[in-house]
Amino acid sequence: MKRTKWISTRSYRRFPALAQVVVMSISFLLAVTCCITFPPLNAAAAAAAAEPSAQEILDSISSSNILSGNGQATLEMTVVSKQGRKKVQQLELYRRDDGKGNVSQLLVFTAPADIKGTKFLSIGTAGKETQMWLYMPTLGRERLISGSATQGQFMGTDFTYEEISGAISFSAEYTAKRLADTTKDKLSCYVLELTPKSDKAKYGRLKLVVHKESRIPLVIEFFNRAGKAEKTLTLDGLHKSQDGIWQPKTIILNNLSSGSSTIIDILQESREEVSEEMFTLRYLRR
Amino acid sequence: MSGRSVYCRPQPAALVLILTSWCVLVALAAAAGSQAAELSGEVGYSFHYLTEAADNYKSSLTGQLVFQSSSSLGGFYIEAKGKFETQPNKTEKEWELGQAYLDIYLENIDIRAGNQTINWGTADGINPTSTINPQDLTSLTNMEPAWLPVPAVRASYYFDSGAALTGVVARHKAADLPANTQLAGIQPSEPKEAERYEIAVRGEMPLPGGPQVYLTYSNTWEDYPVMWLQPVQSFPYLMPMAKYRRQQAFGVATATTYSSGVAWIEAAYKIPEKLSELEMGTSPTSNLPLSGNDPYAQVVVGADYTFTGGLYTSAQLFYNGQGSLLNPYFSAPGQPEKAHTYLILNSRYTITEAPDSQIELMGLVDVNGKSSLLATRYSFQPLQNLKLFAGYVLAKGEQNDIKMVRPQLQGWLIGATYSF
Repeated sequence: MKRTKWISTRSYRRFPALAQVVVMSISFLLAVTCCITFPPLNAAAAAAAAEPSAQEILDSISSSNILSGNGQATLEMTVVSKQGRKKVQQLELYRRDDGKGNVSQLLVFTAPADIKGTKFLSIGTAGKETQMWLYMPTLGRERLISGSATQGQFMGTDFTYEEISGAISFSAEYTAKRLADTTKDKLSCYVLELTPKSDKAKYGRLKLVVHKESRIPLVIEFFNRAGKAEKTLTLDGLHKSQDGIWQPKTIILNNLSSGSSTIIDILQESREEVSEEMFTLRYLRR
Repeated sequence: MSGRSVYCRPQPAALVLILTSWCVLVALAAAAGSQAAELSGEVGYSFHYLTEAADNYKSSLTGQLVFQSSSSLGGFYIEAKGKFETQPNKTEKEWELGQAYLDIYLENIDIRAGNQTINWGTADGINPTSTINPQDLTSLTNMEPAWLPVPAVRASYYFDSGAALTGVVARHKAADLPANTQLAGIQPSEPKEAERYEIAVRGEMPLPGGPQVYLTYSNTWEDYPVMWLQPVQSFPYLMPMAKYRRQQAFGVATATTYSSGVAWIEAAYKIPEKLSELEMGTSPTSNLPLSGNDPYAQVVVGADYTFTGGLYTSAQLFYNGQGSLLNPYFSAPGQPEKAHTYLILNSRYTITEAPDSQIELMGLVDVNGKSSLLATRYSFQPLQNLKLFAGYVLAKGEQNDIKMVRPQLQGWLIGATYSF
């Protein structure tokens, strides 16, 4: 039997998992990054870990939002319209997490030509609202994104600014209930249903399919207040890298309202720590 | 049909600086492992059917080439633009250097030297604290405000606290003179080369809670020349005269979040050089000024909101103590304009069922004068790099400033751009 162990922030820093950084950045739950598996220790612990409560599962996802990593990745983002037209964007993702809830993320568009140089910076400070800026080369200066604007469409994709910045905390806004376990792609998964704690939460209901071993949500279904399904996020090709880190190959967000979808492929990644100065207005303006 | 060809030469000094520095940078960049230099560009065509103009159409073919590279030590950016425009009675060919600058990044200092735009402020589209680059406000109807790049050196020092101090030394470049004003046919006297310099400084600091506050000071040349009517002995007895003058501007700007979006305020107090030519005397031989000679304030207050479904909208109130934003001159000689207040609306919506389609709306409504400039545009991207668009501009009202811009703006527009 195997035992899954959640390592400390300090330990995690030695194993920054960028692919998972991508997952968490792009998949609303920046969270999933710190799931690193270790060899089995004892059966009792494994049994205890096997049947956690709904809240424990949700906390383990969201708490990993605090325990996150640093890194850089090259992504390809393909937006497919309802009519099947494709729009491909390439971008660099930089991420830094000090392990105390201060998470900074920078997205730099490198293609196509009409959006090249556009940058999106989000700086999350523990206990405070995440600050977001969008820099557009044609404007020549940064623009603050806040309030209702965070729910706006991010650069023509199906993601909102809030979602792409990873500023959503499911654990803080929703109550979890466990449903019957399931399997996805032959992987054993928990199933959670989340309902909002207050009217402030954006969605009326969420359904999460969470991989048991890595605690990475493989499917998230988003329902609006009227109970209608709005979006579905799917992580495909979850596999363990040579370093023992779980990571997906593709992230797909289906917008059920518009019929469009956004597909994110991870082309390249680096686990080197990203300099703090990249997450500043100074760098944004370059 | 007449033909005209224009070649706008880049400033020699700026060009030498760029080329020399470029060589240095290429060597530095190679050492620092910079990204390879990239070439990109755009070609576009637009047809503007002008419903209120004698020359009732304008057909424009445009091209833009950009060559750029960057590294952790710096970078360069060179932009060349071309335009071939035909109207019923004239044809224009124009080549010009757009932005062309060199960046150097030192430990705490970022330096940018070359032809560049320096866009300061927090307001959307029109920025009272941005005084270096001339801006043609009629470009707002294109949904993308455009500034004329000027040769300048800008250096920004960044403090560890998040504060920054920026200094700019620039060379004055005259704006294209507004069409259909009293200025038509007049050649204003330009400043001497040695006096063309402009300076500006900006300090910025984060306040507790996050908002940045910007304080600016500038000593620049005004975008447009001042005008007056000077009595002469012979017919026409009053000779229109024009010249450029300096102005100082003190500005402040900030933007902050509120529960539903972002709110901003930007204000500038502008003190133009006092010219004796603009003083109105009581004798019959006194000049009749067409421009003000007194300090004035410009203030913008605005906020944005994104509705459920993705409709973005922003609204701004713009107070201009100088008078009209569209026409910088008095409607009647010797009679100073009253302050104007404008409501500026911007809206953008991506159609949910067709994410390749976007609708944009811009409105500039003169609250006092009951006139307005409205522009709407629909754009559609059938292919990744191809954008098709169609729009309409309406200039409504009987004020002089609206009458002035109506012929050049009101009408239908269709076009396409292809980027690579």
